[in-house]
Amino acid sequence: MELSKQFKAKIYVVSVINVCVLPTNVGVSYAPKLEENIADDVHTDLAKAQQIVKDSGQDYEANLLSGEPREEIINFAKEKQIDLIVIGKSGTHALERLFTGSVTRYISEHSKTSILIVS
Amino acid sequence: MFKKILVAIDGSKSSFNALDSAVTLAKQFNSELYLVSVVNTVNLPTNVGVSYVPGLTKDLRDSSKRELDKAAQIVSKTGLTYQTELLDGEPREELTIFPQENGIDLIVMGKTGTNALTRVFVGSVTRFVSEHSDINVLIVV
Repeated sequence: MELSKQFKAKIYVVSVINVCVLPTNVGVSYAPKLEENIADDVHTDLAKAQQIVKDSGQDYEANLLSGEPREEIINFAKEKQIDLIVIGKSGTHALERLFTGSVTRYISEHSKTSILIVS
Repeated sequence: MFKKILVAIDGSKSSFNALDSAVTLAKQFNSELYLVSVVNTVNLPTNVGVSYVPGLTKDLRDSSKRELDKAAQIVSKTGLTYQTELLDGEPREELTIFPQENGIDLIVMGKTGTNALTRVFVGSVTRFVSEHSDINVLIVV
């Protein structure tokens, strides 16, 4: 937000519901509530982020995507002609908190967009 | 937000793109720029029949110095405050340690290096620094 204020940039707040790694092969063939629960979670986080941007009075757009996070973010950035992806260094898992998140690493290698990795 | 911005210069086009971005940012945030090149003295061929190549380190240093001067030239035209630093050692380590010791807020690096291979992939130095540094890293394509 500090950056977008300086450059009067539009902020795209994006969350991705990861529907690709759901346990579909663990005895039950389908867990109807699972996807819904994940979607709710992601939605809550996105709404929180959206509120923060809204309060700052900046131009923004919130997007809730669904799919494989790496691919979705790269494609989204390409389609919307994003100039800069800002992403946290580590993800939400305990392991990923120690290392650089796999999504961050993947995007930094495969995206044609400049990326700011925030520690 | 960014008081001190470091730009890693290795002479690649990508590193000069990084410099452009850093200059734009520095103007907006009134930041001080640190232009840093590292002479890679770790990967010298010390075990290939000859024990020591006296001119080699000097050649490497001269070429790094030239790129650094080129970068300094670009920045000096903008009127921004800057300093240049020519370091010696393993680039990954130097670029992880130097920013920490000098209170850098943001490291700006090119995505790819100067080798043919790293031009296709993300440079190994960029990857290492982005994973091992506690400082924010901007990777410029």
